[in-house]
Amino acid sequence: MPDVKEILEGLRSDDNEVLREAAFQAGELDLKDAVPLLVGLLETSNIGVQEAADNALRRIAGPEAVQSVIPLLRSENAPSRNMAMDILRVIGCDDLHAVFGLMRDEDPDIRIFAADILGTTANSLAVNPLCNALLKDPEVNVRYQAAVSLGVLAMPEAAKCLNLAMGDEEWVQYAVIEALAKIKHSSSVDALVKGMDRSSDLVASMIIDALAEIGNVKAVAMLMRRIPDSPTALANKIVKAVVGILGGKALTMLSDHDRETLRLAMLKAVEDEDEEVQDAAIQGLAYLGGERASKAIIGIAAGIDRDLNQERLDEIVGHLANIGLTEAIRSDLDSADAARAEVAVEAMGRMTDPAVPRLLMDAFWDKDLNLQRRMAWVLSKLAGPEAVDFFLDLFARHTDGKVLKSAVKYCSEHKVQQSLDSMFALLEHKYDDVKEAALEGCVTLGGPEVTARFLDSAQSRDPMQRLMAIYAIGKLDARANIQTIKQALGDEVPDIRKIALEALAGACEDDRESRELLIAGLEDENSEVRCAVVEQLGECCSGDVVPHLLRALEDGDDWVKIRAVEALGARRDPQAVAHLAPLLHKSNRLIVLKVLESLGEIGGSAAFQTLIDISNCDEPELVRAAEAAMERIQEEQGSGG
Amino acid sequence: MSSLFSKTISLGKDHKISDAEFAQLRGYIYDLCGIFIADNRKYLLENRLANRIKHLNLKGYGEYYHYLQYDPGRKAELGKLFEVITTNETSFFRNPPQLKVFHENILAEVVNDLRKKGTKRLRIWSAGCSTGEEPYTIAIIIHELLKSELGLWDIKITANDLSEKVLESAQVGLYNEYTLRSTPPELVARHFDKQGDLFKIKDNVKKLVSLGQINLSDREQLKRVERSQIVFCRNVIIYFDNEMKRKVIGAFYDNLLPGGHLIIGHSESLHNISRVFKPVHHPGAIIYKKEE
Repeated sequence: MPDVKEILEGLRSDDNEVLREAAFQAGELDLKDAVPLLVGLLETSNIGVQEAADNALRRIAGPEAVQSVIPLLRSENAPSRNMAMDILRVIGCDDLHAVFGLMRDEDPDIRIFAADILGTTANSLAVNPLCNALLKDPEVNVRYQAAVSLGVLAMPEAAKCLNLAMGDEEWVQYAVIEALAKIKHSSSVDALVKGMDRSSDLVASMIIDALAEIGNVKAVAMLMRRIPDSPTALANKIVKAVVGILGGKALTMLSDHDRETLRLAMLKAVEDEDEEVQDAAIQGLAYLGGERASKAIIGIAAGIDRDLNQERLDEIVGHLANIGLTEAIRSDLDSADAARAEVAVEAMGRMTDPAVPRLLMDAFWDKDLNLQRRMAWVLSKLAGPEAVDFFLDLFARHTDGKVLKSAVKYCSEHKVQQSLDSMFALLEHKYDDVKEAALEGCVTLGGPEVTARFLDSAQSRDPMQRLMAIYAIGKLDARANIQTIKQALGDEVPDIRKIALEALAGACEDDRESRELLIAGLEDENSEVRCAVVEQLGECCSGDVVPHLLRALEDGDDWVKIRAVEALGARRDPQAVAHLAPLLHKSNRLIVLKVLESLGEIGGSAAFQTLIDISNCDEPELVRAAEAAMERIQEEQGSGG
Repeated sequence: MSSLFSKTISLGKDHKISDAEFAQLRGYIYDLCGIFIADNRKYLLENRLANRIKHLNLKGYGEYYHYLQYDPGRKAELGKLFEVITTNETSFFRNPPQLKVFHENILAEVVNDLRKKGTKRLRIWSAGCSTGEEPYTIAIIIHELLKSELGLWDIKITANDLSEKVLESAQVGLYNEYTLRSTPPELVARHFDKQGDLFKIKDNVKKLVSLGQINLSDREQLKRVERSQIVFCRNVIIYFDNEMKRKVIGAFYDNLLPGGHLIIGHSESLHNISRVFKPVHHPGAIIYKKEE
């Protein structure tokens, strides 16, 4: 650890490198005695030294640092002043009264600096002095900075004085409106609306944005009244504000007249350059739009780069779907413009209109692969029995993995038995994701023929085929095919043995033979298989597996032990406590933590006493874990009454 | 064949990272190496670690966190973790305009100054060298500038990275055509030996580079790096939060000799991080200079 005296000497050195190192050490040690020297270094000519002192002062902070840096605000040297401002913006909150004093300074620049610093303090005590300055300071730039800082603080206590300041000159109004938008206080709606009557277009535009931010329904009627007489840019902003305040659905509750006024304004607003305005108009048109809106929205969606803006596209497609199956969607499905056709497919995928599947099936084979993938996916989700022949045809004619996965999804969920050959063929597909989809599909399809085919594959020379077969048999009916599972338990491939053990898990409850086979897995040479056995035993409700779990605590592999500890904890068997406690002396910390967790799960006085003992050790991590476990026991006891 | 599941199909054993687990792992990684994983990279971390969790047969990210701390295999796993959290996307002659400025303005100026001072000792630090493309590119440029005079110079490019794995790869010095896509063909012909479809960096280039592991969050390690005329740290500080960036940039400042040059990635900036360097604008690059 560096010596304090040495650091202070270092801060008086002539050598810049020594100064930097000393400043760094002073900051690390939070050395308050170094503050005056560090402030002095802010005015040296070497920028590296300045920055080291700057960093150290920020780190040390506290009232001493604030008071020592404040005089630099009056420095004639602009970089020193700027540096002091930067530091005080970070540490000014450590001595608010010192900064409050500056708000009464004769020099308006100092008052501006102080107002700026108060804005960064995140302290409600700063609101009053700032409000005072906003309403009373004779210097416009101080009032402006006070409004900016009140916006940064964004505290509701400031709403009242900001509302009053709406009568100030336009330069101050900019900052006031922004601050009110951040604070979002309901009392500000009236002040803003009144301000709009006497404001320029620029201020009016800011007020509309602020009303949208505040989101108070009170503002809607006033905004709607202004649409007809407003220039397009302002009317578009009003559209954004109204949709923002009411949301899309509530627009349908406006009067007929207001709905039509808004609809026409929204159709213009979708052409605005500002994406946020466009999006608001689209959101509104989803409820009030109709055919004309649909066409305009598809045009916008088709122009979006989906790699950069997927989220926006999804949102817009959702709105398009809300309008429904319009002529524009039908015609764009057949469009030569791939982007428009894609948007149409995406939107149709979210519609409940019964005409959609037929339209997609008819258009499918004329489309490029990318679109076919989307169409097949949409059809797999939406289509009913009318699509059976279509999907069987896909199996026969298509080779693309993604398209085939959609066919698997549809045929398995609709129990299309004619697809069985095709699905089994896909179990040998070159891509694993297709194999996996086909495997799950076959299992979902189920039935005696599926089982028979998997029993056959269980004898395959290809380990992957055997693995998939055992997985499927486990899901379909392990108990009825116990001989095949038994055989798999002796497979040369550990993963197949693991899968076979998992297949037994469901049967172990009330089937002695399954349970014994499972328990025999504890002798497997492969530790991962033994881990799997312990996990399965843990899920088996039968009481006679406990001795075997206790035996697993003696396993040579730490992960088998850990899984046994977890399983015993989950079973909450009090007799396990005596076997778990000795493991608290193991060198593997993870075992110890798992034991503590399990003791918390098991509960009871023996577990609690063991936890109390360990909570007196001097290792914080173990103490924390023991305390968490004791808390759990206490909570359970409390809830148990 | 030992693990058909992890290498082939998942059979539905996918893991999701919870917010608490993400916070725990992020804190651990930050403490370990200063790399800050932003919230929007949560799913990237989840994706990239999913295979590790499957491979280790763990139950999830919480268990992985404990594994990293306590399992006897944790040291090897930390290497894997470093591989996962640093993307290592790099190539030879990455960002040619910046390297042109380095070659024609910075290196040429430094070499001339050294000649005038009567010394031929040049030190360059490549902090975050990944699989070696950057330091070997620097070495090639030095060869091209000094040509036959090179033998009279004492030159060392200190090349560091967090990941041992990438350093092993840099040590081998074998590259595919894709990583050489920005390298002028005549330079490939002069400085690489073709080995089948691959290209091996020549020994006379390789010997200028001294590879070693470094953790940029470890100030003591950084202080031990030999002081340099030029520091390269391109596309590394993007992984750090501002606090860590300040520390690392401060360490580069301390390492650089008076008048030295710092070269960061062309999309990176020291704005709001440090004022100690003077940004010098060249066509195609900004180079940060330490005062004389």
